[in-house]
Amino acid sequence: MGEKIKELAQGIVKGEERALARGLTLVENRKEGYQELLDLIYPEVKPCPIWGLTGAPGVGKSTITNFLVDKLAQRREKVGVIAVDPTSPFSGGAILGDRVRMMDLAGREGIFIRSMASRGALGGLSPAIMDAVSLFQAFGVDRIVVETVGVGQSETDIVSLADTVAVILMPGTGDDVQTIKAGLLEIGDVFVVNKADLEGAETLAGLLQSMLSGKNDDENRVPVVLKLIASQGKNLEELMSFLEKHQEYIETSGQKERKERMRTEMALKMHLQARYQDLFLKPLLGTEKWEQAISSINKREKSPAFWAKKIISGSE
Amino acid sequence: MAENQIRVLIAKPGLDGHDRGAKVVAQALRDAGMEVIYTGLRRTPEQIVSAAIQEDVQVVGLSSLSGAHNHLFQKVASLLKEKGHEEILLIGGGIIPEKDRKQLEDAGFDRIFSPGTSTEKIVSYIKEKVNG
Repeated sequence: MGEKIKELAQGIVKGEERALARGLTLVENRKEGYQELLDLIYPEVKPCPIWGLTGAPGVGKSTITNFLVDKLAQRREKVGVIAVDPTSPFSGGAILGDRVRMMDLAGREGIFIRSMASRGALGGLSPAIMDAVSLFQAFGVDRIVVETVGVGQSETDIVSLADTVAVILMPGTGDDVQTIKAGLLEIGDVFVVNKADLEGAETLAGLLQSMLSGKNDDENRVPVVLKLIASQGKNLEELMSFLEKHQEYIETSGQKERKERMRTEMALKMHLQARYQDLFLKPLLGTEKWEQAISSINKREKSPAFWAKKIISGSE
Repeated sequence: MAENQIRVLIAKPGLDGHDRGAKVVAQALRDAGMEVIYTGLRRTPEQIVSAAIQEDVQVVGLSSLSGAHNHLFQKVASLLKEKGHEEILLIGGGIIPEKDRKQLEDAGFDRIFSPGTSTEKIVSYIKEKVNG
């Protein structure tokens, strides 16, 4: 095992695609050797800017990613794309369809796309995405683009780890309360109103502008609202130049260290949570004690809170 | 999550605009707990093989209804071989005549499914081959 993992780590650091692909599978499955792999590559991690794109299904994330990555690759940047789609809580399976809109990128030199399912079957975050970022950075990319469906807290958490976050919206998906509810207003550096040729685009853009105007804690960092029509290529250049300007700001304002620390904390938390699930929660499911707790709760003898405390403290 | 998640790439090579079948299979595989990377229509064999490698899938499934399967399917098989990925389970489906099926299986396809095959059959075939 040790030799194989060492070889894999060396392959990744040397920039071999196949090794990176295998390594990503290993950290996703958290199979034997994954920690060893992470330990080996960690000193070789070369930080690079991370862009995050998030938004509901169908708002145009992948089309926008396709454009951005194409531009970056034309400049001979090496780009890693992590496209996250949700795992079905019922079957554990997933349809990962982001490649459909990234036609122009497949098979091109310097572009590595990995589709990932959110997994995390027992709730909570899967550390795999953080680990994937590390593997990409050891492999040596100039930039990472993370694309997630912006639904639920874990997705929001993940994308907020990017240096720059673009929240993609489109008109006609509900009123202003929906927009606030989703918790997206807090994480965006730029808000994109895509499909701006549809009715309601002006209203949505105006609404965002007014909701965001209260949040300029730092005068360099008032979130920007951009209207675009990604499928027709309209205003995509503007988005690109915003993302680059924001990157400059991150690097020169001391925000970089703050982001770095946030990422590290998140990675540690995710790994702790995963360990807790593997070592504690999973072995507990279906045991006598588990069943005893369930039936006691169902009979209204004791509350779930009581049992959680009892199980954790291990007292009889 | 310490288990081997089955990952499958479903692709439609060439100029073929009909992907109902491919999508039905993709959904059946998802419902069986697999992660299915769907590439969409009109992919070149090179794009399909590159995606299969980056996504590190154990299975590649191709669908064709256009009649161009002999050339396109074989190209995918030979590219996979060339890149040293013969271990990937390679399956196909669509409108493929009996005699071509044999030829494709000789060219490196593990199995070509004929029209009318139940999705259960495909699911159990993949599970048996991948998990042994």
